[in-house]
Amino acid sequence: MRAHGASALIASMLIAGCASTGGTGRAPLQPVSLPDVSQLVNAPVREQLQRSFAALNQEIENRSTNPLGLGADFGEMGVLFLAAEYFKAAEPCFLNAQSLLPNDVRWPYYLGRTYRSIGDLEKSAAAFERARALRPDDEATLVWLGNIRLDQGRPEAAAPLFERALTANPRSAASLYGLGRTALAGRQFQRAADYLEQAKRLDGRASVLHYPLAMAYRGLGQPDKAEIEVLQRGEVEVGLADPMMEHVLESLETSAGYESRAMRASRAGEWKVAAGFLRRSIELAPENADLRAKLGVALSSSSAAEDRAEAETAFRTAVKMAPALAPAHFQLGLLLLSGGRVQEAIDELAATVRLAPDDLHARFQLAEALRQDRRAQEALSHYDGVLRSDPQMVEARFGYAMTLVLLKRYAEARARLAEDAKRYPASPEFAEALARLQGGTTRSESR
Amino acid sequence: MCTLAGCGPNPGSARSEQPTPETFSERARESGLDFAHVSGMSGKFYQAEIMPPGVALFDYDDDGDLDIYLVQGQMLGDGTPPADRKPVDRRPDLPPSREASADRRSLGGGGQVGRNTLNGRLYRNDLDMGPDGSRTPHFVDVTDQSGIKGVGYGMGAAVGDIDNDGCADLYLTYFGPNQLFRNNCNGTFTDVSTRTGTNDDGWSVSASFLDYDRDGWLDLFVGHYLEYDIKTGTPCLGASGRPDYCLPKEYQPQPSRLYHNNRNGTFTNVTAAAGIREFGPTLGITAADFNGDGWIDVYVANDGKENQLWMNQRNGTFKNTALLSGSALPEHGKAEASMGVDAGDFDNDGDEDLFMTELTGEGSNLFVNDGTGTFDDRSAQSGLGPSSVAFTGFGAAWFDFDNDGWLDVLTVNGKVEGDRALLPQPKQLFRNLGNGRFEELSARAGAAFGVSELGRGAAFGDIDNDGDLDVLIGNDNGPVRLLLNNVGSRNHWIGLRLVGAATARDMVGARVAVSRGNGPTIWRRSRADSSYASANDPRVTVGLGASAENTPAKVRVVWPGGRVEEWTGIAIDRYTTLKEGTGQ
Repeated sequence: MRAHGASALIASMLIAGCASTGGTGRAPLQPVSLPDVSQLVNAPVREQLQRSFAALNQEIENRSTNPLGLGADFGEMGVLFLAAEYFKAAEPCFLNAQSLLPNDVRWPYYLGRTYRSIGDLEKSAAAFERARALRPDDEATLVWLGNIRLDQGRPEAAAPLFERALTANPRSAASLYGLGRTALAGRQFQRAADYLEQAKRLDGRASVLHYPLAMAYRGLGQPDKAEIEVLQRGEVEVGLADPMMEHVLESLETSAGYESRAMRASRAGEWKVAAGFLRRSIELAPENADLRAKLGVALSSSSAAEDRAEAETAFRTAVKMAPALAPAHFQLGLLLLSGGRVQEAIDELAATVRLAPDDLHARFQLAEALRQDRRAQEALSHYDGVLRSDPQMVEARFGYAMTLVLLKRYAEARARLAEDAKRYPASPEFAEALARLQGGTTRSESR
Repeated sequence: MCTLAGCGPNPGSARSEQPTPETFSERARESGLDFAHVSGMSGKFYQAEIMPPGVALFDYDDDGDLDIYLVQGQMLGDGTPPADRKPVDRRPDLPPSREASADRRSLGGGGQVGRNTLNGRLYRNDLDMGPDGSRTPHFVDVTDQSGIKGVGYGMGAAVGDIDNDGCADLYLTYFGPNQLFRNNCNGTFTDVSTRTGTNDDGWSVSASFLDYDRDGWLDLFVGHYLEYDIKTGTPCLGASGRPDYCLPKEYQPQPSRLYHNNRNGTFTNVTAAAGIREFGPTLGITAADFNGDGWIDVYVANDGKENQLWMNQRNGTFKNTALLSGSALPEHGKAEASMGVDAGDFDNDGDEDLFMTELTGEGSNLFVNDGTGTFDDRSAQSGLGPSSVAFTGFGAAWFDFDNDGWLDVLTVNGKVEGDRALLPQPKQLFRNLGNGRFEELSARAGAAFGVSELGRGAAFGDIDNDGDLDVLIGNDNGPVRLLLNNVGSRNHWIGLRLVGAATARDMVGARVAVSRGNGPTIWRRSRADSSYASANDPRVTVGLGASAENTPAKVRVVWPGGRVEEWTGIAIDRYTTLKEGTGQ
């Protein structure tokens, strides 16, 4: 840092000059310095940080620089520092940007995220409050601030924040998750269960929801339901649209930055664009098997044969690099299944289930593939495995019944279809299959 | 300045007393502990470098005061030290600078610089008694004559009397094969690692001696961490591409081990037979009876994965009930780091509650037991979570530093990844307010709390035998710290050493209930495990507050084998040895 001390000193001298000649009563600006980036292995990132810092210093030295422009420059420098996790360096940049551009919600928001990363809950909350004052209905700000209030042991302060976020976005699973946690903190177990179940319906991939939901059911004295939830627990976070942080993630010339851009494109259904970003991401991190699996997913969405062939290559490379990467086996299995290569699909789906025995979706797909291959007894065993953990999975209940038909266990099949037709009136396939069975049809049905 | 006699807390009331300055004074060098840990940080980011060392408090010579064992590291890899190393500054009045503490190029401690190997050190406590009754610990390095050759890359220590001869034995965990040293009861030890079958290879950090089958002999639970090989392990990269230590999820967890004591100088690995088939990267272990059925259970803190609560099934097997019990994860459902851990009755309701330290950004966790082994996450509401979010905590324990009858918490902190200059962090002291909440006293607890270091192991015990609990701290690649408590002895207390009927062994796992006429019953447990990679004083110290009316009416002991006995008229402000079978 000594090498950049001169830059920091220049910054503070000129900023003092700016403050005295053009000051509007704002807080004095903070000196900014470049951390020691010489250890960075990623040369593009190192050069990007050095280049950007040099450009910022040039703007500072240029006395005719517009303060608003300078504010944006400080902010973007802070963005790079935040992306690179140089939190201490990011702080003064954002403080300066906030001082020069007090009505720009980005800077207090980024300060909130910076402080949260270093564990300063008080400063983080204060920054998010400032951001909220500028943009009262921003979902990400409200959710982050609500979560901080929960971390501070203030659920009564958290609840209205999540409620406001839910009003702004009624499909906000993150807000419902927060409300669920708030209710748990107050031992309002039924409310907690209601909120968390709603969140689960909106974001079924967010496996992190299952554990607090299990605690809610435990509190309600429903251990069986609690156990079902606990078996499905995982680490996948609840989704939260956060365009400001996406900008941060995409700012650096890193694999993660391009990956973030790819995910954004995926969410917008722009699979070719996503694939392009993922290829660049892989160039920067060729050892990352997960990226190759994601590239495979992006390419799988295409109907073009060459894309699907490249998808298969990407998946196979991923599992070769990381044999325990269950999602890669799973996606490869789905790709093969969709191409009619059932036996190969079964091999990959079976590998997935071996690696991730609690993955109900993978086990269900394996059961479906086995049924398709007329390996009925094996299929039945896997449907049973799914239903023991999630007795309400309609698709698995249907698959189980159809497998009974395959095994010529017609009476059992009829009984199950009849029961499920009554239990799930919104799923006509049960009644239709029952009608066909009662009409004497013995063919297995595929959905 | 008011004296404590005039401003002590009322019996049974919530806390109100303000501590005097210098609650703790750092006295390592003055007491003869001239030791600095060597992590061997060479710039290659070998994963093991960032985790040690543990420390141990135990009375190896059975003279009534606590001696010390300090774990040492080595250079890893090809063993080439960095060229520009410099010795540790030995000026006694100079606290280590942040740079010195984080400086991987510092070597020193105990005079081993320049020798071929670095050993852990055993220090005998020759407690000086002053004419005014004051006690001053004075430590003498007796390693060479002890026979303890703790070579290898040391991680932690555990203490227990494996052969019931009344002399505490020492188990050392390593990045490499572990060692068990049997105390010969004459100032020397014998390495019985191979003979006992406890020299398991791999990477272990914490260990706990416990009598899980109630046969009167201490068994051993060894927590293993990661499958990691320095030949193939490579540093990970941070967000910007900066080389750093990896998160534990980059490696497979290594299975922990449960050893049954065969009572003949050998142990048998009964891990699978005991039903222990789930493993995480284990860092902390605390053994206690969590459901009040009289059988010892084991809580395991795993780094970045769900923690485990191995409930004793009373038939030689265990069942992991952590998930549904609410002790596997914090309330939000995301696995956290979990390094140091302890069980203690912080709310004086008669059961063992759990406290564990976490990474920066996560906040320490408090899981409150309802008495049945079911827990509620009260981390945020207690104030412990939010006050610790900015810190990465390691060694920690429940201890009543001011002897007011409520268990407080001290954590030693130090980061594991990120900007090298920002790894050292200060220690924290939290006082129990008696209402489910804690207040942080670090700023008023003494100069030692203003020093930032890479805190790792912490052992809690009464080193100067004055009735309050002191703290021994191991710093990664830094000097050992000895925090002597200046305030607790100003309140009344009871000190108990609990020993067995047939042997003079410390009966770890025994629970003590102190019933007072005008207050709740205080439950405490004799334990040598918990914290992080460290061994604690097995004696039980129960704080009684300032009022003389706090003389206890009755002391009840629930022995590990299930027997329950009572004693009355136990003297306050002194240590008393209670022998199983001699009570009512």
